[in-house]
Amino acid sequence: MSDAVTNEQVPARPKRHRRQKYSAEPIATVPDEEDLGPAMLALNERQRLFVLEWHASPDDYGHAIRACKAAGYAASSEAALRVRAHQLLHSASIQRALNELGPKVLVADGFRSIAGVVAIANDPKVKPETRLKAHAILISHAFPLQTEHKVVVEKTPDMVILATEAVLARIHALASQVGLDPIKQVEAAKMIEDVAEEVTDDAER
Amino acid sequence: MMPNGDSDEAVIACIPAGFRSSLIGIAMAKKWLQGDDLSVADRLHHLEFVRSQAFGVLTAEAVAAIEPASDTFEQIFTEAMRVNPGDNQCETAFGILDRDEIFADLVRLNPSISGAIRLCRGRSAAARE
Repeated sequence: MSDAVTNEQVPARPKRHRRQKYSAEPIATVPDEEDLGPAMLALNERQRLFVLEWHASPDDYGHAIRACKAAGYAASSEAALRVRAHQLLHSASIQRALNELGPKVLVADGFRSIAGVVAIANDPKVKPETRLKAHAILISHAFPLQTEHKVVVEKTPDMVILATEAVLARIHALASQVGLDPIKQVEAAKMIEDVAEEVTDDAER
Repeated sequence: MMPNGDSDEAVIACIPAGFRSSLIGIAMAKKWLQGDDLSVADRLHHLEFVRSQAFGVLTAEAVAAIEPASDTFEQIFTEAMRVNPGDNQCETAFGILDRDEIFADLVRLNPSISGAIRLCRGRSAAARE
């Protein structure tokens, strides 16, 4: 039985051909050289185009190859182009350029997002709860909460020892025990803080 | 060659090495206690510390016999404390200061430490027996 199964001819699966989703036509806007950072300027023109196309490409299957083609790279096959794209993306100079460009793209997209939130907030067809959320986001961005922290460090009574008569007597006794001049020790303690007087309830009145 | 019975090396050998940091600490605390700028709380703290060092073979009499550290002694102590300003600052510093040759130098700078160890000799011998 098992032989019958193994001997059976398993029909070969048809090779999957993914549709080319996006055109390889360049879509990135190439900025002037003076607008580019040092990492981008260190690249040659094709590498620079690859980075820009990579950022501009829709984030989908095959977009590295698309960026490669749009930048003008050619190869004998799709597989060779895939290898080329991999090499480009993993080269240190390209990665530095991608890092340099990333924050600029984020800021630009951030503005686009705000425009989207404004549209949602003002669209009467959108559910009121969603519009309210959009308004809340806009308010929090327009008037961000500001907080102020004030840290006060105070010496609590248990951290401060006053030079009371009892404390001075203790200093005198300890200094005598450990072989130091007790009078000098007491005088030094008196000098740094005035001798405190015990306050009784009667004295307060 | 065996150290002479009255040499610093022979005297130092009379007390367990674990007491070396106490002897250094006492000399340093007494040095700080000589200053006039200590708060009352700090002065009490140092005095209590020095008194608390009298335990085991280190007698109260020996503690009282130790003189405050000199400026050079303090400089060596400070340098050792600077080696590792992290969490194990004291462990590192005393690891250096307790070494035979360095402790012997400190004893030479403050001979009262050697005198204090001499006062503990009887107790050390009794403890060993």
